[in-house]
Amino acid sequence: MEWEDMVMEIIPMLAEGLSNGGGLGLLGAGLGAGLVTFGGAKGIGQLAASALESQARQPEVAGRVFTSMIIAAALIEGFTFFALIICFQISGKVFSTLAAAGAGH
Amino acid sequence: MDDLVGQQENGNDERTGIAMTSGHTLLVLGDAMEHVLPKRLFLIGPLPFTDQMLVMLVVGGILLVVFALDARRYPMVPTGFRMFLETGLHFVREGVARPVLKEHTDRFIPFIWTLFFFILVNNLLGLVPLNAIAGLLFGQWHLFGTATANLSVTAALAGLVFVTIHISGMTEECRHQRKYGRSWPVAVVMGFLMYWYHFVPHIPGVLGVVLFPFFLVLEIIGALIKPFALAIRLFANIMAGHILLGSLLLMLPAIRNLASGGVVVPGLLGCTALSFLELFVAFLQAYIFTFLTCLFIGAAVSPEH
Repeated sequence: MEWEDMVMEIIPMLAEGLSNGGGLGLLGAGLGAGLVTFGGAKGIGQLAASALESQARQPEVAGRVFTSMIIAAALIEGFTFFALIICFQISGKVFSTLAAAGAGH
Repeated sequence: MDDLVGQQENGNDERTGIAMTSGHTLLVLGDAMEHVLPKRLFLIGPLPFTDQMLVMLVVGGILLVVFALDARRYPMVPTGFRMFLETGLHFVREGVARPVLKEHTDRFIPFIWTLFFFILVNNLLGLVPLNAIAGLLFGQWHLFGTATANLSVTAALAGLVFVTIHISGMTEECRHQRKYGRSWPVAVVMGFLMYWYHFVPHIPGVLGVVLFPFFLVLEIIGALIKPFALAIRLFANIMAGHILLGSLLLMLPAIRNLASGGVVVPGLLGCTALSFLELFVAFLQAYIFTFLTCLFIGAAVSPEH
């Protein structure tokens, strides 16, 4: 029971400590950017794998397959970048709030 | 991303001050963003004239001069640099526009050519160190920026695409209605209504009538999201590339000890390699923007019923 009580005390302390320096916001932005990269890279890797396989099977359509692969990769990368922009905005807002708080003090 | 142009009033001191007192890589994030934000050069009335606007004017001038000189020698077979330009123009028309737009290619090709080359030259001028050249020659270090690294510029281009898509789609519907022998005012109104009717795929029977409003709402949301995605894709690719290059180069001022010499070499090599990638991204994003524009215009203009 005692270590449970200690854990129940530590978690709010951690949350308060993280939120003081904007840590939670930066944590969210950083984790978000990493997860988005993971999803996008997995999708584009699968796309490239099937494109390469079809080019190896039928070399005469290799040019068209390459064009379609580039277009699909750019579209996937497009919404990867949406999330990246959101992460930039979160961290920018955290920094500007920190600057305002720092200058105010 | 707020107060973009008020940077010079705030001064850079507060942000770098905080970063320097914390003493580690906050400096990288703080300053790397800054070199893609627009800087005010002077004021025209209440509106600021930024470095990105200057680059857009420069690009407009380049396109006007280069392509006008190219077109002036029209009957002559193109050689040399003219062949290079004509190859690019031919690729955009035959490789990108004609497979999608078939008989409407010549109607839209001036817009599509302008879009492609405007975006391409803007992206490429962002990679050329015009700031350093102007700084070393004239002492003005912040004269040029990258226009497509600004969401307003890409949103304006996407707005143009949106207007082109819907107005040309409605015009096609009006012309189609004219072929049925209706007079002009009736044809315009009928064309306008039939354009909305043809937004939605046709489902026969009572189910089609019931589902029509839902599909209409979905298609309208889609029609708003597609240009939005065009704008954000171009903006995010170019801005993220510049921020990455800036972050790598700013590793040197962030680490001010004996290790700084060793840190710079991989930073420079990485920046060189990334600049090649950014070159590819410049061409690719211009091609993707143009290709998707052609696709959307083709979908709006060709009779898909």
